[in-house]
Amino acid sequence: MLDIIINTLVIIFSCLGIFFFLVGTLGLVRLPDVYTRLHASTKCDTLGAGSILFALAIYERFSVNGLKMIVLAFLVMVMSSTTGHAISRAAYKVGITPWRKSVPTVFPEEEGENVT
Amino acid sequence: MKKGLVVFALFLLWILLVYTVIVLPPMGSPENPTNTHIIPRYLEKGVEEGGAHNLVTGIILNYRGFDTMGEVTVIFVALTCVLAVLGRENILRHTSKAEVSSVEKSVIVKCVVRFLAPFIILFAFYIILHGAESPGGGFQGGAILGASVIIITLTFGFALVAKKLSLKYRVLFESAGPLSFFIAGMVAIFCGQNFLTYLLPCVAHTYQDFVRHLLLIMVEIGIGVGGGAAISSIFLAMEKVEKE
Amino acid sequence: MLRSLDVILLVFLLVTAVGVVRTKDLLGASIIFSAYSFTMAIVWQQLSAPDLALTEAAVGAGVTTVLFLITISRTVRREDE
Repeated sequence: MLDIIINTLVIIFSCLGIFFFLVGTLGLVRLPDVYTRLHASTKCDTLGAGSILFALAIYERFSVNGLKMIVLAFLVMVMSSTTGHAISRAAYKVGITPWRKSVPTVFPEEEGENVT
Repeated sequence: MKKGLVVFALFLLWILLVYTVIVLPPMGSPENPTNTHIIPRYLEKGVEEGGAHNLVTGIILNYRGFDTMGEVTVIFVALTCVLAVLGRENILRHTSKAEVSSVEKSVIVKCVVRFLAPFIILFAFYIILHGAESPGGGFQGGAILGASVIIITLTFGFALVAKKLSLKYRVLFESAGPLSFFIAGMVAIFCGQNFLTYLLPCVAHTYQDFVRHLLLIMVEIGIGVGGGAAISSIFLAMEKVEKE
Repeated sequence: MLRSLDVILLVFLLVTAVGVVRTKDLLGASIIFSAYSFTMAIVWQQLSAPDLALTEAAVGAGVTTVLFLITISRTVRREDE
């Protein structure tokens, strides 16, 4: 019985991690600029690697190796969110403007021409 | 014409390489010369003769001690060449490129590095000291030590690291690798053995293993501290810019 | 008999190795080189050589990339045609 519960938890958490990795990688390829890509790829590290390491810790039944996995997950979360912060801050300070969905396509002069 | 000649030469080389691959003994076969000649000796007696539970450390420090001494000397020579081209940093005249830039440091990054750097250094020393028992050793721990110096320099500024790791001590640390090998070899010579023998007959029989372990750990610490100091010195020499 | 993970790793290793050579942007090339080093570290681990894996991960992916980045920031980023 305990085995079934543990295996179910491991499968659930690793599927969650794989899902977040997939979404993060897709976002890294498809999203338009630095900030949104960073948004996707930090999810990949924190949630994806975090849940996979947590699944491994459950699989090891929180023995010494399992606790090492927990420490690793904590370190990965701290490191990747700090790196994401540093990169986005540097990009903002350097002067990269965030991408906007509604780019004004109609310029004022053209609008005026259309009116007349 | 010229292109055709090149393609022909490459084709000949390709044929030679493919022929060599075909003639090679099959991968992983137990009858290979590498598996029959010297590996059984290492596997049977390596732990006993090498003096370290981690077989790799025993081999690289004991059977292949001269190779490892050469590697350490190569790192030292590389450091010397970099310093000869770029020059040492000077606290009064130089600052780092990261400090000149217009972007000031983030508080979050400083806080996280202050929290993590002691653990990174602790991990580096764990790897250096535990190299005889588990995977790891001087080179790996030295690289991690150098990386920790790099991350501290990038976050807290050039002046702090150049002051704390002042040249007076860093010169000693840089030469620790070849120096520790030299000392370990000379101890063996004074006991009437060959250079770099760790099992010394002039020590009482019950203490021989202990002395061998001590010498191995000394050499590991020398390699680790020397590698770390070499990496951080190269980094500081490359990172420096002239103050205005 | 190769396991599927080894095949994936080796193919990725080849792709990154070609990518390092073919990339014109030196910053991108050094980042791809760091990915190559990490893959190589996993390959060493698969070949049960954890000592080498540690060295590769620390030196190849960490320190070398930092030194490359410093050199690129001192010189130009693009390679001429």
